Amino acid sequence: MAARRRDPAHAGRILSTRALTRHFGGVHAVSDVDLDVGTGERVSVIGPNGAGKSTLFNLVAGEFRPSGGRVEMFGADMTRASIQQRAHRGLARTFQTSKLFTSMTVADNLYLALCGRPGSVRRLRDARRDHERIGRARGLAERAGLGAEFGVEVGELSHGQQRQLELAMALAAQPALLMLDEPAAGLSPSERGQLTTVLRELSAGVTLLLIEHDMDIALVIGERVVVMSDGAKVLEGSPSEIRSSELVRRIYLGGTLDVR
Amino acid sequence: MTKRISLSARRLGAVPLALALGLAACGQTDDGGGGMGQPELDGGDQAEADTEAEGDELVIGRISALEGAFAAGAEDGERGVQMALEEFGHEVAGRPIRTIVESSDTTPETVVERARKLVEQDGVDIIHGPLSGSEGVALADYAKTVPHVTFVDAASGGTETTLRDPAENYFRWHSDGAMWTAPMGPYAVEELGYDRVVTLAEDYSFPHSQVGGFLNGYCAAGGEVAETFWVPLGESDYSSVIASIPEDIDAIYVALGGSDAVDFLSQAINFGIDKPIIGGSILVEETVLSSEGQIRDAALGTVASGVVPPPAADVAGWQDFVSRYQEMFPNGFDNPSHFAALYYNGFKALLLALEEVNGVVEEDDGEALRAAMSDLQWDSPIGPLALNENRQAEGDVFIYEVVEGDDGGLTTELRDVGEDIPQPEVVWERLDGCPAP
Amino acid sequence: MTWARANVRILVAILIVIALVAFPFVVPRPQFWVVSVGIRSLWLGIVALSLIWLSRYTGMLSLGQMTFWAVAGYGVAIMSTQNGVPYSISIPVAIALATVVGALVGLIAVRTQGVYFLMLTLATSQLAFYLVLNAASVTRGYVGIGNIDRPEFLGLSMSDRNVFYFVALALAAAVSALAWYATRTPFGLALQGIRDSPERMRALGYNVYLHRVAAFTFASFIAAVSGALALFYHGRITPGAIDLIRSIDVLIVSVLGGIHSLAGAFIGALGLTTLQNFAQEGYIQVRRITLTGVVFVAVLLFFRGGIVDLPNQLREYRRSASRQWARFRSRKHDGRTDRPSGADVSDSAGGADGRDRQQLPR
Repeated sequence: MAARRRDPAHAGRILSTRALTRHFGGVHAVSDVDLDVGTGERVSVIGPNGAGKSTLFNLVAGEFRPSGGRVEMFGADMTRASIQQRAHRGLARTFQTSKLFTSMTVADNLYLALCGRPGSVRRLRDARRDHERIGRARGLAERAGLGAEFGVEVGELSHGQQRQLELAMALAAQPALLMLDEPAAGLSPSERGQLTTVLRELSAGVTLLLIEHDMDIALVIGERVVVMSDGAKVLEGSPSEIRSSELVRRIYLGGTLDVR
Repeated sequence: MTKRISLSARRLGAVPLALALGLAACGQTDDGGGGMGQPELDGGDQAEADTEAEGDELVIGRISALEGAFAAGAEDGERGVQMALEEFGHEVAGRPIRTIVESSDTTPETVVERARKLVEQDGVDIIHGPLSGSEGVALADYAKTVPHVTFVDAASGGTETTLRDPAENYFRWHSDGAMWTAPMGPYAVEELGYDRVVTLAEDYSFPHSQVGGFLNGYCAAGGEVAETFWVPLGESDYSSVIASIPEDIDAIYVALGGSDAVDFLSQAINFGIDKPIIGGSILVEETVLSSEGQIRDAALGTVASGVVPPPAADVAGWQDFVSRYQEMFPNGFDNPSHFAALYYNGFKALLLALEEVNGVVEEDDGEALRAAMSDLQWDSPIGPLALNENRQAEGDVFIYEVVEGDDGGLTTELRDVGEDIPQPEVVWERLDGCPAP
Repeated sequence: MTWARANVRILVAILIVIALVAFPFVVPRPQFWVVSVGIRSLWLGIVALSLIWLSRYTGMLSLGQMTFWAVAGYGVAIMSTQNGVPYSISIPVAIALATVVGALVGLIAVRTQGVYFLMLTLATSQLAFYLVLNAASVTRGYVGIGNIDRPEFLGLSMSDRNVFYFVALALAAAVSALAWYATRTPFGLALQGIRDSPERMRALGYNVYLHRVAAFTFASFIAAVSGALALFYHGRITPGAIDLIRSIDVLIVSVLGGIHSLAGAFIGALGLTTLQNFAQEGYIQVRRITLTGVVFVAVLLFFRGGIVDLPNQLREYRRSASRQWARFRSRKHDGRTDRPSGADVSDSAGGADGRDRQQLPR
C-alpha cells in the first residue's frame, strides 16, 4: 500500500483498467485490457471496426458493466460506479452519434452542461436570471465558434456545428478526464482540420482519452497510442512508433480500408 | 444572438383564437347579477331562461343513456316515449310538444351537467329522465335547486331517489329495484315452500336493493338464509361459488343480470346445481332468454319477479300495448322491453297531468302541474298507478316462470301478481343474512 | 418588427385578461355559461394542463392524471363529509395526499417509456376507478359521495357562481404560471434535456430517474388541484367521474387544444365543453361520444397542433395549396413534368456518404 502510493507513476494516474473484460453472449468484445492514462496525458485508442474500442470506451464511461476486471479512476475503484457518479468525479464524454438536446437552443444545451454536477446550482430559480452561468455558456459557445448561433435551436445547426457543440458541452464542466468517442466521424476534411486544432489547443490540465477511427487525427493528438484488435490491446507506443509499425499496417489492411 | 435560455413562450399566436372562442360564447349581454348561497351554484335569475319556448310550443327536456352499457335499453325507451306522444298527437291542450333529447352516459356527473344545460340554456321547465339508478339519485339532488322545474323519472331504480329527503318536484311513476323483488319473498315461502335459500348477486347498488327487497319479505315470512354470495360485476366463472353452495337448501335466489346471468345459467347444470333457481328482475328477462348461451335447462322453471309482465300476460291494457308496440316498431324487439314500458308510463303520466292543467306550465312555475301529477291516478299497461306522499309510484309487481313457448323458445308465464307493493322504508345495502327486523 | 410583435402580444394578453374577467358579466344565461362552460373549462383545463406539461417537457404521455384528481376529490369528500374535517385542513391534506400518491406511482411508472408508460398510467386510473367502486364502505360505491357544501372564506361563498368562477380562474392562472415558471428553472431545463437525450443527461451527471419522478409528482399536484376544484363544481364525486371515458376526455382536451402548448389545455377544455353541450342539439344527429371521436381523429390527421396552432396550420395549408395550384398551372401550360431525369440523379449520387449511394436512380 504505502509503497504503491509513493510510486510516482501510480500517483499521477487518472485512469487505469486491469484485466477489463466484457463479453456479449459468446463474443468477447473486450478481453483483458490493461490501460493506464496519466494525469494530463493525451492517449488515443485506435483499431479497425469491431476491435472493441467503443466497448472499452463504454466500460470506462459506465454505460456497460464489465464481465470481469476493474476500472480505477481518480484514485478510487469505480468499476461499479454509476454514470452520474463518474460524471460528478470529473469524467466527461462525447457520443459517437450526436446526442444533443435538439429542440433546445445552443444556450440551453451549454447551460445544462454547466449544471450537471451537484453543488451551487439552485434548481428552482429562474435560469434566465443566472447571469453568471449564462455568461460562461456564451463564452463556451464563442470559443466553439458558435457565438452567432447562441440562441438557435440545435436541430437547425449543421452537422459540423453539432460536433463542435458536443465537444463544448463535454468541456463545459472542466472535466479532469475527457473522453471523446470518434469526434471526427462524419466531418468534412476542413472540419477535421478545425477539430484537430481545437483538440491541440485544449488546456494542459485536461486529460484526454480519444477513440478514433481516423488514424491521422489519432496520431496527431495522441502522445501515446493504444492499438486494439479483436477486443485485445495489441500494441502501445508513441505516434511515430505506431506509424512505422508493420503490425498496425497489417491490422488495418486486414481490417477495413481506412488508411489514407 | 437573440434570446438566452429560451423556452416555450412562442405559442402566443394561440390567443386570438381563444379570444374568438370566448367572445363567440358571449353573444348579447344580459344582466348577470351575482349569485346567492344555494347548494347548486346559483345566480337567482332563472326566469330569463324561459325565452326559448316560443309561442304555444311546450318544450320538454329529456335525458336518456343513449351512450354506454344501456344504450340498447335506452333506444327502446325512446320507442315508449314515441308511443305516448303518438297517443296525444304530439300536443297537449292545443300546445305542440317539442322534446330536446340530451344523452347521458349513466354517470351522475354527466346527468347533472345535461340537466343544467337543459334548464339554464334551453329554458325547459320539465325534464323526463334518467335511465339508471345513481343518475336518478343525483338528478333528484339537483332538482331541489331548481324548484320551478318538474322532473319525471324515466327508468331509474335507486331506492334513495325518492326516499331520503325526497325532492318536491321529482316524480317517479315506477317502483324501485327493491319493490320489484318484494313479493317474491313471501311467494317463495308460502307458494313454493322454500324454507332455506342462499342468495347470489353482483356486489353493487342495484343487486343490493334487489336482494334486500327479497330477503326482507322472505325472512318475515319465516324463511332462512344459509349464506349470501356476492360476486363482482362482470364475473364470468361461477364454478367456485357453485361448489361452495351448501346441500341443505331448498333453492338458490339469483339476482344477476346481463352477461353475468347468461354465464351463471349456462354453468349451473354443468357444475351440478340440482336446486331450483328463483331470481331477481333481470335474471330471465328478454335479452337473457334470447341469448345464444346454453341456458335452457337451468332457466326452465325459474321463477322470478319484475315490474313488466310476461308478453302474454292477461293484464288489462298490456296486450294492447304489446301489439301497438309491435305495429309501430317492426324493427324493435319482439316484445316491448322493461325500458319501453317504464319510459312510456312516465311520459304518459306527464302528458296526462299536462292535459289536466290545460298545458299551463310557465305561468305558475309548474305549481299546478305538480299538484295534478301528485293527484293523478291512471290505468297504465302494467296496472293502475298512483303516487304516494314521496311522489313515488306504488304499483303491481309480477311473478312469472320461465316456460317453453309455442315456437320452442323460452318465454315467461305469469304466476302471480303482488298488488300495490309499498315503497321500502330503508335503502338496502349489502346484506350478509336476514335484515335486522 | 420585433417591437411591433411584442406590442401585439401585450395587447392580445391584455384583451384576454379583460375578456376572462368580464366573462361572467357579459354572457347571457350566466347560470349556464359561467358555470357549465366557464368553470367546467377551467377545472378541466387544469387537469389537461398537467397532462400537457408532462408530455411537452418530459415526453411522458400520461393517461393517469384522473387518478390524482380522484384522490384529491375523494380525499376532501371523505374527510369533510364523513369525519367533519374543516375544508381549511381537508383540502390541503387531500392535495398533498394526491401528490404523494403521484410520487409513488411515478417511482414505478417513469421506469417505463412510450406505450408502456401510457398503458401503466391508464391502468393506474382504472385501478383507482375500481378501488373507489369496491371500497363502498368509505366511498359509497356507485352512488358516490354527494351533497358537498361549497367552501366559504373571507365572507365570500363559493356557492356564488361568480366567486367560484374567479376562484377557479385564479387557480388556473396560478398553476399555469407555476407550470410555466418550472420550465424556466434549471430543473425544468433538465427535464427537457432528458426528453431530448437521457443518455447525454446521465453523462453530464444528472439523475435522470429522480428528475422524472419529480416531474411526474409535480404534474400530479396540478391534477390534484383540479380534483379538489371539480369536487365543488359537481357538489359530488362518484366513480363515474373517473371512469375510462374521463381519462380519454383529458387526452382529447389536450390534443384538441394543442398538446405542445400550455395554453392549449384551457382552449381545448373550452372546445370540448362547447362540443359536449351543443353537439347533441336536434340538428346534429350524432351521439356525443361519436362526434367527439370524429373531431379527435380530424385534429390528429389534419391539425396536429390543435386549436392553438390553427392559424399556423391554415397558413401552411394555404401555402401548399397555392404551390400545388402553381405546379398544376405550369404543367398545364408546357405539358412537362418537373421530375429530374435519371441521369441527373445518378451523377449527383456519387457523393461522400454511403447512404447517398444506396439511393436508387429513378
